[in-house]
Amino acid sequence: MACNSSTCNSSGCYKGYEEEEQPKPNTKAAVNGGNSCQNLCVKCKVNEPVCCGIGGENSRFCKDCFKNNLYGKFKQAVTYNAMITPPDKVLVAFSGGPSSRVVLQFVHEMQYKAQKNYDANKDKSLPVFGVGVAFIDESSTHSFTSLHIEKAIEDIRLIVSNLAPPSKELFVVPIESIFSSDGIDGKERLKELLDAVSDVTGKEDLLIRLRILLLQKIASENGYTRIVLGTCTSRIACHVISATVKGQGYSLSADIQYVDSRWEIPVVLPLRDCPAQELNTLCSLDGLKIVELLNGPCSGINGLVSSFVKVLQELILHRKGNSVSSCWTFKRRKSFSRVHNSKNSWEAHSISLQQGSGNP
Amino acid sequence: MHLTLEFGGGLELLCESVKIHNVNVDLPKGADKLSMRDLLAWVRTNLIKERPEMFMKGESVRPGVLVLVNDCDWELSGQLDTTLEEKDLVVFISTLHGG
Repeated sequence: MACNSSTCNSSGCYKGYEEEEQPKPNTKAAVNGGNSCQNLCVKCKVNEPVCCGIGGENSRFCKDCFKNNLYGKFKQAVTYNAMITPPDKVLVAFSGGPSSRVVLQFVHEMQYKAQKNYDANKDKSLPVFGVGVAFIDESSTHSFTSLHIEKAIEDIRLIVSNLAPPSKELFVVPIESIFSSDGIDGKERLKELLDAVSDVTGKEDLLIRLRILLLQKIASENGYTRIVLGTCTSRIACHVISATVKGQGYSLSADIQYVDSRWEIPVVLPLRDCPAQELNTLCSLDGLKIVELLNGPCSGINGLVSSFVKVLQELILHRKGNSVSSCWTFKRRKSFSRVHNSKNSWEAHSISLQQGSGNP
Repeated sequence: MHLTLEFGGGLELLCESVKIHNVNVDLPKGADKLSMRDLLAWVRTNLIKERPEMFMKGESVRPGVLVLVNDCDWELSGQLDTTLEEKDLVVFISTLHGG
């Protein structure tokens, strides 16, 4: 099923993100050879760049190096934090959006490579980790038409079925099943619960909490040992600020770790070092289909913080000539007792932008 | 000039939920080229039906909106000064919604 076409962008194509692969020289660049390094990919210095990472001028990549760079960050996070080991069964939470689409793709790539190695290996000592996908149907809390949601679910089924072999089980679970398996009763109870919260931000946060509880339920009932979220750098940045303004500082440290072991089934964030902009660009360049179920802009604190983070990012990125490294660092306060799995001084390196001479 | 414009990440909600638009944009008076600056002004007037502040800020796009011209980040081709050619594909993606 491997595709030999270099231009194939199908989501089922296994041309893969080869970390050591040398990209083929682009004819145009070769002709312009000695012209200037400014117009070449900063990594391979051969091809013309097509995308900018968030590092501005220091992160102009050609398509292949851009993909490899992102996959490299994912792989590093998984390896250094032992997120996925051979006996694991991982449940990927797939919302249909760009971040979870990328994490699903990357997890699949990793599983596919592990399967190839297993098949080629005589002693079969290391099993291949299992992958399942969970989509939470929140249509009862939004105003989507049933046609809209049915189409979305159909698209998701197609995406998951194309990511095989190895095949992946897909769970499409309505949010109200957090209460019971009886759909009608669950919907009423959910509505009652949400109506009890009067503010927009409160409702959003409650839904986020219900989502993770439901994912825990699905994982636990089906023998999964890890839950993979597509939470990216930008989302972490927003969470740091919004949690601070909401007075949720106590749990903040544990909220933003690579591995959150506070839950029965640990929750892992392999895209923690990848900014949203790069994930969106990858989806666009690589033809990764996303399924968007959007309910309009968020009007609460979370939406406001998201906009603020973007503005800040743009301001810093376009400030010319300065060497700016922007990290938000919060020192550990004595009043915080030990938080499960937190580091000594916890830092929210939500956005780390560099300009100028490329120092770390 | 015939162009294809795509809106994603929620921006299509501002254009009556239509994601792909095949448009014909007139060059501004006295100009021989169409820049992204000109195109953005055209889009705001002709395609954005509600909440223009979600798409644009000043003469550029709102922070958080990714712009790709023929699959290439516009940061690399001069941002607002990027010149467009016949049948170019311009993609606008809002990264404000998570995934």
